[in-house]
Amino acid sequence: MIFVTVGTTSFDDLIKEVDSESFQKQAKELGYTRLVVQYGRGSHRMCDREPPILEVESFDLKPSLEDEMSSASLVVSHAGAGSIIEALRQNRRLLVVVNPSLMDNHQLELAEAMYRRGFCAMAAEPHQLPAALAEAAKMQMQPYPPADLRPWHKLLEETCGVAPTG
Amino acid sequence: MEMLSLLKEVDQERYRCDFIMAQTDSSSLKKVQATRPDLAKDLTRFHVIPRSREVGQSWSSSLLTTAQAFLACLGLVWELNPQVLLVNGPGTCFPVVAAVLLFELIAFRRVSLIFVESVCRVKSLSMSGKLIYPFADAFLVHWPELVERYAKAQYLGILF
Repeated sequence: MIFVTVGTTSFDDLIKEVDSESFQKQAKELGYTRLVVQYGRGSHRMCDREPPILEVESFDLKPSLEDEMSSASLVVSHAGAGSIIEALRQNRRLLVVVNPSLMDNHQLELAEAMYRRGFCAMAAEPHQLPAALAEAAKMQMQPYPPADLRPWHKLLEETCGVAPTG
Repeated sequence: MEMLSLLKEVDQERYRCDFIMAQTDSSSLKKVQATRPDLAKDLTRFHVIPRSREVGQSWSSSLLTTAQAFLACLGLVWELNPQVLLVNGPGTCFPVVAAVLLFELIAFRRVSLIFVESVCRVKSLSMSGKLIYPFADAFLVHWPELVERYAKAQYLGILF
């Protein structure tokens, strides 16, 4: 199953791209059969194809996306830090899509940094999604290292004079 | 999410944590209640400060509301008498940081200011980061690239 998420943002260009015949046909060729789309605050709605290319479900917002994340074999996410880290922490195969219409695009910096380290595949804008999809399905992903709070605890201890943990 | 992750293993018996939120922030408290109900048990630890400025607010009224926010923070800082101020980035933190700096001067107290930059900042600092950098006692970043550019910045590995 491919899970598409835009968090609490509006990213209609991405939703339109995954709604396209070309994207869905390519996904089908790569072996995917289901597509779940979380479209956030966007206004584009997935169309009902007859006959359907993929089984499509969609919704706007949910308090937690854990269920969708944990059952996806590929997560296609906007480049928000929260969504990226949630997918990586669940060890999901991840494809990050940057929204070029956002001002001050720190999203691009973050996506590139994650991509360079091999944690995910990346599309610099929605039209590059099909090419990135092929790469994402095949690439060898680097596992995202576990969090280690010990250096942080050491800093707290140096600052406060008391260790934060027992 | 980023701030709460830093408190994940902090023992509440050893460290007393007080949380400061902007008045118009309705989601942060809910997030704490959902992910860390143990921290949210004592609601007296959650303090609300007025927002300095709303988007589109005029300059003249912004001056007044910023001053009000600053005074509210000063009162709060005086009452809480913290050893450490941990801030993350959005503009909400400015009046608190300013209040703590003034508090240090007039109360002759040392407060350690720890600034945690956003994980999205890989090559450059945020506006808050740049402004608070000279005053921070510890300045944490999440990408080693920034340590090369900013001498004070510390990269402590992956924290969440």
